Amino acid sequence: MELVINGENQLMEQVSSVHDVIERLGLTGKPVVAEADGHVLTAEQWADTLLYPGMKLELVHFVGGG
Amino acid sequence: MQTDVLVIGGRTLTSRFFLGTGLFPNPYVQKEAIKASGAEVLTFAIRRINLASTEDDSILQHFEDNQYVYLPNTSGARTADEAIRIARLARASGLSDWIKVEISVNERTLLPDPIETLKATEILVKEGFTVLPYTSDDPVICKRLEEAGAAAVMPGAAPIGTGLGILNPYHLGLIVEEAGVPIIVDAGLGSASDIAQAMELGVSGVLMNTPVAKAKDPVRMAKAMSLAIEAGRLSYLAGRIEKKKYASASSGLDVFKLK
Repeated sequence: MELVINGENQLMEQVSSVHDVIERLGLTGKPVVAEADGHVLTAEQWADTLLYPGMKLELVHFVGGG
Repeated sequence: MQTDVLVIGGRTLTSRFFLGTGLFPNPYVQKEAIKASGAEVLTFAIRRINLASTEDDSILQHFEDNQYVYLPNTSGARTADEAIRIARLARASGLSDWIKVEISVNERTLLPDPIETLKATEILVKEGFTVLPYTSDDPVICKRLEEAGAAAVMPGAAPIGTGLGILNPYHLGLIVEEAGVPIIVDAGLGSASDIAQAMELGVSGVLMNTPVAKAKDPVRMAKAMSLAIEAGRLSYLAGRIEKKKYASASSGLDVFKLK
């Protein structure tokens, strides 16, 4: 399925939820926050948030800053 | 001496040092500098994960536990809407509901946009965030942010990263006099003397990043800043002497002078 992750088109097979995407990218257990089509998700919502072709995902984390 | 603590958003802090986590030469120096600073509140930024290399570059890997208060910022936001989006993302991490609202449009000065900052503060307060807006050193906008429900207000001393020190001590003094919430000086400070000056003006704390992280010896500078905060605070509480134009002897009466 083609998804738009952090502004880039990504082809990802055999994924059905946001949780699957996080897992596929090796981000499980890391302090990641996901947003799907402009809606901020809590980690509990990842598994229930189903993907569709063209869905826009943003995956962010904390970096150093003042 | 009475215990002199700082309370923000219901949280009691024993340190008045808020430390940023950017620009340190490496994680080890950063960790040691944080220790030396005694800071309890640490700031962070929120950015997209780099999908090309998802090895762990999150800053949080370097912090083991919850001894710190996390203060994510909305840096990169150019409007209230963008700042609100970043704030919601930060809160969804489950780490903190504190947010430093930081909205800048001018890339050269990075000065805050006070109008967008006020808009974002109003909305985020309603959404239950503990909001600490970074704003300009203007007494009127600082008061407006307080009225909008900011838990503390953070006027800049000078543009971010410049190290110019307190450009308008008169305004900063007025801001403190009129404030009903803690005032934290954020941005533009350069060295320990700037910090002591800010604290002597009566501010409740200081937020720094560049002057510590980019010092030749960040760990030593973190300690220096921490001592300056303490010295400035004690000096403020102790109450300084009035300035006079002419000398006055410190050894007593003229009549006992040897002749």
